[in-house]
Amino acid sequence: MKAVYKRELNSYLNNPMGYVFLGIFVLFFSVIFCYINLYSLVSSNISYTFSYMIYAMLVLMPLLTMRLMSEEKAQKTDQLLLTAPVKASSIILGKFFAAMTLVLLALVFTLPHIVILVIQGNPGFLVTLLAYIGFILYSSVYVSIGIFISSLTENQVISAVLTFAIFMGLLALEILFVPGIQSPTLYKILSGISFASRYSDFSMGVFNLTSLVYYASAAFLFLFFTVRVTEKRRWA
Amino acid sequence: MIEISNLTKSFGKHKVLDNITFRVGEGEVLGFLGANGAGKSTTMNIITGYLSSNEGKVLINGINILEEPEKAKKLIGYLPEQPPLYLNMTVSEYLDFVYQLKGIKLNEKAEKGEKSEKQQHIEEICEMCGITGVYKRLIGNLSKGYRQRVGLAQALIGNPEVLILDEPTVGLDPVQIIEIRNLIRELGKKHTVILSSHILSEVSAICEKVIIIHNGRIAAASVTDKLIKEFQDSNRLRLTAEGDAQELVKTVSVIYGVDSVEIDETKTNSSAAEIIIRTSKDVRGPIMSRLVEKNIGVINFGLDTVSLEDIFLKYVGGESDEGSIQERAE
Repeated sequence: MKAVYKRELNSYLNNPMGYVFLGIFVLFFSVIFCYINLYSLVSSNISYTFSYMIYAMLVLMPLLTMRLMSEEKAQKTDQLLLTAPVKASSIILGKFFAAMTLVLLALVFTLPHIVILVIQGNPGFLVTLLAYIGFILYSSVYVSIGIFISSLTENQVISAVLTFAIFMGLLALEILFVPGIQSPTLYKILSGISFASRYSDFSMGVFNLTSLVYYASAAFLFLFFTVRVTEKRRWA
Repeated sequence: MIEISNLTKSFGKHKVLDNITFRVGEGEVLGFLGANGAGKSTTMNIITGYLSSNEGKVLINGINILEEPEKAKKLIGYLPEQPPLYLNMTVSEYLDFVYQLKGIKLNEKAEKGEKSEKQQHIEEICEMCGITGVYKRLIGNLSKGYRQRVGLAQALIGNPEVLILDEPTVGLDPVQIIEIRNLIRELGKKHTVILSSHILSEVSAICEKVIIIHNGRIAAASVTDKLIKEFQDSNRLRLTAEGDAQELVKTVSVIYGVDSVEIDETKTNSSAAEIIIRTSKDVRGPIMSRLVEKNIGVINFGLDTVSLEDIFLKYVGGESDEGSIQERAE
């Protein structure tokens, strides 16, 4: 796992893609931060910015995950990985953590904004921390779905577009359809599995264990699917 | 060392492998011959655990590749048909990655003024494969021949007992081919090697044993020399001489011991004739003296040698690649 993780991280940092991701992330974050936190709401709660960043991640995440599995297949390097004495799960975990490291790295660049908030107001340590934790958890679900889709195709473009479409669909479903549902049971079920509504807990400064478990298990589920897809290819 | 029994593999309706069984002993070099699409690569992919078979099993040193994949894969170094290279890495980064990926544990700490075991191991391999000169270069900038060598180096890392090489000399120039062949022969002394090729002279030069695979079935399996000998008929002579072909046939056929004489029309022209002589015993001496007596200029005279090529064609039935493609389309 360590070898794959290191290689994947290096490949992000030796390629324009990693910097494009970091650059656009910081740009979006700064713009949203200036508008929401400094100009429009004049709030010291960073989670407002993060709840808009979730939409930015729609575009950014596919950049990060599109090549993870599909490039290996296209370059036939999966033959090296899958004939090496390592489990498929550790290969995929290595890739997952490499992508997550890049998300964390992007978050490091958001710390100056927190410094501004601390100077200008009182953001509250726990509220800020929860906003970050929530965002990291949310990203982990995005990354795992992205890897899963990347494992389905050899073509990076298809992988990126499909990932974007699925994120978009999920969000649209949550925002447009779920609030309009009349049946209370159906509403409860659908809003229960909604990614975005879970995030609002964190953004309101509430630490909800079920949300944590929910995100973690969703990420696990898609990583598990990826492992199955990778192993299943052998039997095709 | 490697035991393969009853391998069967289908891609959809198309049966790629049909009941393949063979074994390779320790320290043997086995050549895998076949036309394109015969099932060579598929077999190798199954042996290395990249694909799995529909039926049959693969044992590496008694370890089943499906039941204990990590243990079995540790014993194998694999060079696939297309070397699995990351083009945006340098050779040194790549080999380092493979080293870590394979989980090899050599002493990485260097003594003062000396290289660490790991460093030595990697350098040794680079030296063997002739890639020391490109060690710091990006793989994406290397030529096909060098990429092939880096692929080979990758397979050698960790000194696996079994080497599976899928067309290792593809894309190399003649000098490099000879180098790599020598290298494989050298490796064959310590490792068990399975190598595939569609170049027959290569297999006969490197491998002690050969398996000819055709349409997913084993068409022939034998020791290379034996296979050639089986087909080599010492009672078949080939003679090229000046003069008229009919005249030559007349001259030779009267000799005691000659059973039949036929003209090889494809090689006969106005200035020289080529005939194939079947005999019941070795009559090369009498034929020669008769020719000298008749004052016929001999250009070439000897046993009608059979190459692995002829044997291969005999088994494959002279089918070209198009034939097998057509078959697949059906």
